[in-house]
Amino acid sequence: MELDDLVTKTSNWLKNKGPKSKLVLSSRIRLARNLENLSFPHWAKKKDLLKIAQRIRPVLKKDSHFKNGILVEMENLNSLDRDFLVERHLISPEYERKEGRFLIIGEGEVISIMVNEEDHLRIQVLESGLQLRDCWLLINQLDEALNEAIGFAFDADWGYLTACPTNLGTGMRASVMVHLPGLAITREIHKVLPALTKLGIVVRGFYGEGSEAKGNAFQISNGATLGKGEEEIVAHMESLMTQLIGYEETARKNLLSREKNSVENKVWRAYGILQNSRFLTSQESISLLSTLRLGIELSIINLEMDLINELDVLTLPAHIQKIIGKSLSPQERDRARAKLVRDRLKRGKNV
Amino acid sequence: MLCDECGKREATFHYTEIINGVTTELHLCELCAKKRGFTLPAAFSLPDLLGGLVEPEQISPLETELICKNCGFTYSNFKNIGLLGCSQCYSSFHKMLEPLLKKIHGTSKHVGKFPGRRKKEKREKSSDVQLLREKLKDAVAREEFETAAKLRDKIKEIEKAK
Ligand SMILES: [Zn+2]
Ligand SMILES: [Zn+2]
Repeated sequence: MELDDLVTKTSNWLKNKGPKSKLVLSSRIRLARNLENLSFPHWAKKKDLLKIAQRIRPVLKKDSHFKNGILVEMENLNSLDRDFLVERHLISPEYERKEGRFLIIGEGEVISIMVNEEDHLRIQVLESGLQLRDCWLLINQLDEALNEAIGFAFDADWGYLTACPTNLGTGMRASVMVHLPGLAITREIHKVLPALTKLGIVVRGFYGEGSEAKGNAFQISNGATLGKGEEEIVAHMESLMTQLIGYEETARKNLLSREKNSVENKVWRAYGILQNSRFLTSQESISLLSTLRLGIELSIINLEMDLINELDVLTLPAHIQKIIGKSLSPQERDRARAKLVRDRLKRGKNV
Repeated sequence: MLCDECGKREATFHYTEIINGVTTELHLCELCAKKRGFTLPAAFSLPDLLGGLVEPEQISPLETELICKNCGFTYSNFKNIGLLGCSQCYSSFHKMLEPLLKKIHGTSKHVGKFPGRRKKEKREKSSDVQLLREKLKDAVAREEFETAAKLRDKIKEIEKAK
């Protein structure tokens, strides 16, 4: 497989299959791992980075998880492809396009590993819906296999040794992307999210004025990596998410009983704009797609959720340009985005 | 509106971001937004965090000269960028890192999994008893006596096995 093959493929995490996938867009677990005694990437000399990559590359290539995978050498990547991989959640924007750095992607984009980003290895498992437990089982098994072959830096008191002390211990970040329009519209979100952060949970996202512009999506992840076991972190996150989903469902019920007409109006207008626009900015499409998503979840409109999941990603700037096959000015992009949305909605119409 | 970063081009990306209660507004031009990858920025910057955590008077000039023998990274490098140089740095700077870890994570003891080849070591570790003792103290303080009783039995069991 080549990188460009991904453009037309749907990642597994977009397939809307996991449990609670109506509210939970995706679940992700990431592990930070390093080789013993070798300098961390930011401090390593070029020849050391190459040596590290050389040691890891054959191990990953022969691992069965990457049998039909893609290996991307970062130094060969142009900036559009880099942005594309960022939008795909496969690399971080900080990942440098230099020698000794490579990304390997397993089938369906469920498993991926960045080599020589902040740590020697950043192992990721990304799935749709609320599946942290499954993500953990998969990543743990892969981690153990890789440790057998590579041998990760570890200390009995401090756990896995990472470049940044905020990742020390389990080296694990478990995160969930949730769609919370009910809490956002009813403004309950101002109470709920700060309460989560008091429990040591990190919330990233955009709320308050103009939160709609970001599609009411929030990334929720564990804070501390030391002093808590992996299973404990996963269980804690899952139980908090279940609670959060409960709050969101209540907010939606309240919203429907109080403002049914206005919600319906909003949803159908969003649909109308998406079906007819000739120019569509990235922000506008994110916001309208979020409204449409809510409409589907509240059974106001009958569309395939997969279509919305797909459009959420395909309408991102680098994706649009990859689909068209060349780099575009922002205005050209807005036009191409509008056309893509119109075409997809026409094709996927189920109403 | 002009771009916050370069101040030259028109800002087309507008972020209002709230991370754990702290609001940041950011208006960026196409180019600068792209440079940042226009995704969610990091939750916090470590040098900032360290700036708040490591009080200058806690570190004597001598300590900042500390250097990791394995990789040549210094403790002052760490204070500047918030990253360590290699896995050995953790033992090289052990004394300084211990209180820092407590501040970041609320504890400085790993209780997660041990990699396969070191599982045996975990069972034999005496500091596990120490951890259980700490948990016991917590449980008593919270008046969770049932948990406390279980912990006490566990500690007895381990000590007897020795
Ligand atoms: Zn700029
Ligand atoms: Zn070192």
